[in-house]
Amino acid sequence: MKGNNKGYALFGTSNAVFMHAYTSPKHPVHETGHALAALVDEYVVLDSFPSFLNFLVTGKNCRGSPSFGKYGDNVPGCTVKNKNYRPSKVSIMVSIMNSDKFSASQFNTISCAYILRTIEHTKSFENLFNECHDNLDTIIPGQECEYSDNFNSYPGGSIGTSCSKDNSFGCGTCSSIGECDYTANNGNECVFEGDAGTYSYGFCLDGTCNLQPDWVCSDRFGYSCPRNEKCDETTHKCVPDSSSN
Amino acid sequence: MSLSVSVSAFLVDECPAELDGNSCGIVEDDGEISKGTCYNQQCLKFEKTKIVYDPSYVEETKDDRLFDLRKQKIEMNPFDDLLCVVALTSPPGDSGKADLKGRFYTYEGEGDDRVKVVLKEGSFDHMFEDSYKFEAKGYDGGAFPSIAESDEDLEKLVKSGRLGCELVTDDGKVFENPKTRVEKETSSCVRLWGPDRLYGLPKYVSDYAITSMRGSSSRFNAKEIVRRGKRDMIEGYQEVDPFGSDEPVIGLKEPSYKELFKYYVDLQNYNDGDWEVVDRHFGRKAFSFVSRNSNCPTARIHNFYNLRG
Repeated sequence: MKGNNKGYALFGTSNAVFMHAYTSPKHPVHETGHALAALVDEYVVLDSFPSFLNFLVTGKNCRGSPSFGKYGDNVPGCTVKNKNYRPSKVSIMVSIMNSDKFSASQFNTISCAYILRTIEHTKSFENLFNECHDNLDTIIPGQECEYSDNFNSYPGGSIGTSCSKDNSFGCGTCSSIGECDYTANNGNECVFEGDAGTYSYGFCLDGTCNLQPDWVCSDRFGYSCPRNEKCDETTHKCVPDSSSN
Repeated sequence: MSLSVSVSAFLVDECPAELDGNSCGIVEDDGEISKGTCYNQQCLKFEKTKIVYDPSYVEETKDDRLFDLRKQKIEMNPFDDLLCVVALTSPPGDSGKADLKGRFYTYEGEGDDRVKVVLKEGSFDHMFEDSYKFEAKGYDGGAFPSIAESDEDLEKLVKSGRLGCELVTDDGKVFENPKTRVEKETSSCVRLWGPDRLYGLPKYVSDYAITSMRGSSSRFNAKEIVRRGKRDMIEGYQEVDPFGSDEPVIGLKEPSYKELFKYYVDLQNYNDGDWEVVDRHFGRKAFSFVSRNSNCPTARIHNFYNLRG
């Protein structure tokens, strides 16, 4: 059974996908990847997995060795922590922090090709992969982030397209060819979303968000203070906002 | 011509208000008198009442949703744009002038406890000649069918699977005359989008159906599951390749990948409260139950909304 706390499906053979009532519209697509094409989660969902059962999660979009060749990037970590490889850093099969959000709204070319295999049974994998790579909108090898204009844009904090090394926001900028630029963001404020909508704040260093325990808000992410308050840019505490009266 | 009217001979083209429902006579152009029924002070000869798809909705559906409602095997559903159509004969010179009121209704309960539930009342509009229509728009504007004026009544219609339309007089009287009423079975399956059978599709290419369903734990009403099904289709599947791609299927000129996926919504509210739960998730029986019991055509994927995830 594959899934997270918002939905799940049996991979490959399942005709039913169970969706939590409060899910994003991309979530059924993620679960359909499990049910239709036997894709597995490309994020780390387990700390360990008995080696004799690891075949359950490897084979298609998750491999026990870096064997994607030209079809994928061999990114470490796929379903099991510190184990297995996935074809791309971001994709719709990579949920962020086991939540309802995904690191991209597209499948990578490997996953796309396996979905096409359920549609078009006679074509070679090479043909299917080329179709996904050349003609369909997928995360291609070498692509680090999704460069759509509105992905991960935060209300009130127009950060545009964001990418990072730790799933925080504000530490990287996705270029038009899908590469992350981290260095330009060093020192910028960043936000890390925890479970149940809690936020932690800090500043960026080479793509990761160095959290500052005493920061309760970020001036850059203006929504982080209650109404009629603003974030003091020095103390990072919420203070009354006289301009809101 | 002898006419067995139950009232006196003066009732030719005339109907005092107190005689609603009684027989009356209509003098035809050739002088013949035919039997009509008194209705709101009009003598009308009712020919037929029927519930049909709104013709403009049929055309829009062909263009926008890629299927022909008149060819599909599924019955009409509460989210379709429907018309209750009455055809009648009116006295010469009065064609198209009839003032008709009617209502859509369904039932609540079963057997001897079954009671009629009025869903929507209103006036008929003239269509052409002596035909009149009473509208119920179900699909326009999303999941807000006007066939039932409350969410509770819509649920009753979904549950009963029976939709009626009947003429009613100003003082609320309905007639026994079967030509002034009609009842139809309705489907719990709403077809959202996707082409009819794809002719010429090679056997080695598969097309799939995706159905949204609701469990009682989700607390979704019928409108919400339709809204959710549409949202998942438009903002989910059809934004993600290959499900949303307009590219032709590899090796073919048509169809596109997008056209290989059809979308449905099952309106039935499934009681998932006592389903087996294993490790916070529904057990295997739930998987087979969902795909076995759907009211929609066999689907490859059933997205079943509930509160367990």
